[in-house]
Amino acid sequence: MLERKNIRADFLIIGGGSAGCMAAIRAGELNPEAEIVIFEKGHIRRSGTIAMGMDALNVVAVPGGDTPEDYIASLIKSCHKILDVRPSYVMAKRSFAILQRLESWGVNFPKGENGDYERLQVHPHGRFCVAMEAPDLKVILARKVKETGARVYNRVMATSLLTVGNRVVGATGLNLRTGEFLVCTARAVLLANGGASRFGLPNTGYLYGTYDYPGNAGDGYAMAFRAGAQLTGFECCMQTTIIKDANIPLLYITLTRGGKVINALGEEIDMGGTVSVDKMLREYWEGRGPLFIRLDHLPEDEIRKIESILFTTERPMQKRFFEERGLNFRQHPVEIYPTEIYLCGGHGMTGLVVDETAATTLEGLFAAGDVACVPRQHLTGAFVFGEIAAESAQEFLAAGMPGGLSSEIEEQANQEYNRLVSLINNPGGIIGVKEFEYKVRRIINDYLTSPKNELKLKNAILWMQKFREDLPKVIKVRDYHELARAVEIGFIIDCAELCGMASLARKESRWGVRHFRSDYPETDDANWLKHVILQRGNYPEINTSYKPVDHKV
Amino acid sequence: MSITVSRENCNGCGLCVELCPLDCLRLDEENHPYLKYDECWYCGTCETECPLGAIKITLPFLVR
Ligand SMILES: Cc1cc2nc3c(=O)[nH]c(=O)nc-3n(C[C@H](O)[C@H](O)[C@H](O)COP(=O)(O)OP(=O)(O)OC[C@H]3O[C@@H](n4cnc5c(N)ncnc54)[C@H](O)[C@@H]3O)c2cc1C
Repeated sequence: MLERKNIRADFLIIGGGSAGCMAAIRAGELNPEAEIVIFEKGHIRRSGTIAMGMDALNVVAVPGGDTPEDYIASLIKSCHKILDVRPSYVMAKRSFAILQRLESWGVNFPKGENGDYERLQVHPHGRFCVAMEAPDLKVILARKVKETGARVYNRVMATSLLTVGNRVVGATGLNLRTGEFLVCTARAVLLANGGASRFGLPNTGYLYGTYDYPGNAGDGYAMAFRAGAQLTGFECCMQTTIIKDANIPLLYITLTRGGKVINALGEEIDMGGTVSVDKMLREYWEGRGPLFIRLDHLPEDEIRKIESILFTTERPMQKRFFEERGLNFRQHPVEIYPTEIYLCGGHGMTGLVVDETAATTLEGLFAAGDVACVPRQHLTGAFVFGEIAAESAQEFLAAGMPGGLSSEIEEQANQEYNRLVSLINNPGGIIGVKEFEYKVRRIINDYLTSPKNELKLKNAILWMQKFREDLPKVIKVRDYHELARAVEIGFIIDCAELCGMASLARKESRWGVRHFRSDYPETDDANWLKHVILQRGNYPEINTSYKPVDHKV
Repeated sequence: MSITVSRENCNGCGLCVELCPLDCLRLDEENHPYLKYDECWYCGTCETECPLGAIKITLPFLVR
């Protein structure tokens, strides 16, 4: 079992989702000779957040409309001032080119009668969200990747990064069907594995009914942390409001097209012409939930249009949910509810520290998409920084590999191999992966969800340290699929401890209920306009430092 | 949580198993898919991709 295989790549991409596909396509364009390898945990045709397509490109500065400068002004507000604006600015500047590129591949961006793109307002200011009709977006990207000749390893999840000093030189991978263990050395590595969707436990108690694609379990955060990269934004615990129980989103689609939000007292929530999740979460926080979305005041053709988006793209099972519950927008307000907490550099601001070239703080390692901290970058960021990462990696592709590589790599690979083997051949295994994961995520709910305070956060950290110690002793793994789940639980544990540490460090409250400390209830701009940066000491020790925010483009 | 497979329509090609994003499905002795791992995200990939319309997702009891 666990056959070993060594492979080599010029450019190793971890995660064949939105960012990873775009990076492979761009890398193939720039250097058709380069050996591109993709590790994809699922199957590239339908994996990741956009497995079933997407209905908008959330950040596009359409020429003649709101500008990249306007976007930055709006973003500083929605990030409550905690951001370095340069990467976001570069993204906004390249955003329209990405739209055109997708359009040239057959992605449909519907236009109004005047020939203009449908621009919707979801940011505090400006119309940067452009409607897109793309149920097959992922299929299109996968086809483009195939044309580059990249070698795609489906069902292979990266389990660790390989390093020589401060330089990342590859990764190990586990095939979660066959148990094959891959050791891939590479000149440059891109983390494009998404955020941490399996984090808090949904209130349904169903482990996989998460808002975002549950295959993204914070793998990249944890692997990068273990390899020594700097991480940030872990105290900003994301929540949004979505259809209760189904955990399927509908906010942007309904609210940008005339939908209203009503609270339990029957009052309409005034969001000032945009979509403010902060305001909605506040209603729950202050006891005026549940909230409902109403469309019954809209004309029939508008409701039909909304339904046709909701029921075909992104999460088409929404249709079945409506049918089974007997829900109909024409007659019923639809109840929405706050999600469990999750970590994400696409909606939120959790991720590897990166600059505008997608470079991380480790040499040879790039990060793009939800795993990187480019606050609220959404799909646009995944695409733009996927491209940028491929461009930046070229320099490493031209250079040689560092010397003395083989023995160090061999040792790290052996260690990882032995770790996996001991998880699957665990004589003390008595707790199944589900049960273990359930408890970890229940503790995340209990101690990392706001209101936070010092005691709760310290409890969270202690629990995570205990879980980390216990997991290899007690976990019962029956096959390779479950082995992959056990490895993911290890990632979730690391992410939760990072979240606890960062939340403890930020002694103020910010981002509404995303980081509310009952022991420091005020927002304190005088002392806290800075990032909390986390980095490993002697693993699993976590060091904390601070970096002032940078609002200069 | 379950999926319903039409034994008449399914030809056992295994495409759904191949594509399921969360690796939930396997083929049984008769080459029909079944939900081996109760981890379905109800994304709809298997239903959409099945060329014979042979597979239908049931929403998990906990969410429906
Ligand atoms: C429900 C929902 C709706 C959204 N709607 C919009 C929208 O309308 N407009 C918009 O602009 N943005 C939207 N977003 C945000 C946007 O979809 C994401 O920001 C973007 O897709 C992130 O891309 P990514 O490449 O980082 O992650 P993904 O596209 O999820 O790709 C990550 C890939 O990595 C793989 N992977 C994970 N771990 C490993 C590992 N260890 N080894 C190998 N592979 C691994 C996964 O299988 C996956 O294929 C939405 C997000 C959600 C959750």
